[in-house]
Amino acid sequence: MPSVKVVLVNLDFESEVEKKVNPFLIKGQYLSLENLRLNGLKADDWMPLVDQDWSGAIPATLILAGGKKKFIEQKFENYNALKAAIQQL
Amino acid sequence: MKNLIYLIIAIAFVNLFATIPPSGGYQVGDVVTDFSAKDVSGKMVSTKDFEGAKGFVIVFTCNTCPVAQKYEDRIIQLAEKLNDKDWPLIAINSNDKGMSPGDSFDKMQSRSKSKKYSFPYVYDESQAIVNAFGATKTPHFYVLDANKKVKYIGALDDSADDVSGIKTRYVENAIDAIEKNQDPNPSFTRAVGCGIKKRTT
Repeated sequence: MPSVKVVLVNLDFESEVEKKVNPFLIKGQYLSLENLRLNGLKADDWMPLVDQDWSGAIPATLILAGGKKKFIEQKFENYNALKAAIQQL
Repeated sequence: MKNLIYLIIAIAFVNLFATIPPSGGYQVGDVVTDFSAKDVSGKMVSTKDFEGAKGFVIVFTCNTCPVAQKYEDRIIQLAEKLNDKDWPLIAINSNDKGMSPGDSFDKMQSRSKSKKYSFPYVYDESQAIVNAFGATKTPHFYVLDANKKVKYIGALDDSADDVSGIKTRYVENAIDAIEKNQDPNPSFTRAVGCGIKKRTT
């Protein structure tokens, strides 16, 4: 398994950042990962840059490896499914 | 030589498939086939029940998604507005109840009752409707004309979080355009929503 960098991009409502997002990051111990927050951009402007066919359903995962990309517009059933998606790239 | 011919054919087929949009379901311009599902009232509701409708607003939504919850009051208000205009609004929950227990039929009934929905809130238990439409998230709006042709797909408006920040009401604008025999512009928008809990097997 190659080394993997995980970046979380939060899309929650601005009004929920304090009471939902921060506690979630702390509780899940996600603070060691790179956590970004995207707010204020028009969906039609930025979503096609992630994937042309993405209509906005989350969770969604973009895997990038050596110039290749794979976009998964659904939840991973478990860790092995995520691992398989990475290894298949 | 024969091998070369076969190779060329294979490439041609690959290119052909590459031009078919990978997202399935209805696109703008497609005509929706009549569908029916069980409503929270216990009765079956069908698109065929609305003879003479000027158009339809179909919204894939659910109880549990925070984005759908943000839009709930706006959906209720829109439905009330459309009641007078002969534009049925049908809300559809396609979430698998095993994957999302808060979206069971019982829970749909409680929600509809407590918020006094004036519109059908139907349960797409087999997921046949969500698969036909190709809807991917909640909420996901489709506006159809009187012939059930899809004229708009996407968000209700451009400000999920904050009603006071709304600049464009896409669905209402689409309805106005259709009534004037014009094409909605935009006819397609993207927005963040919770992925619909579809069974994969």
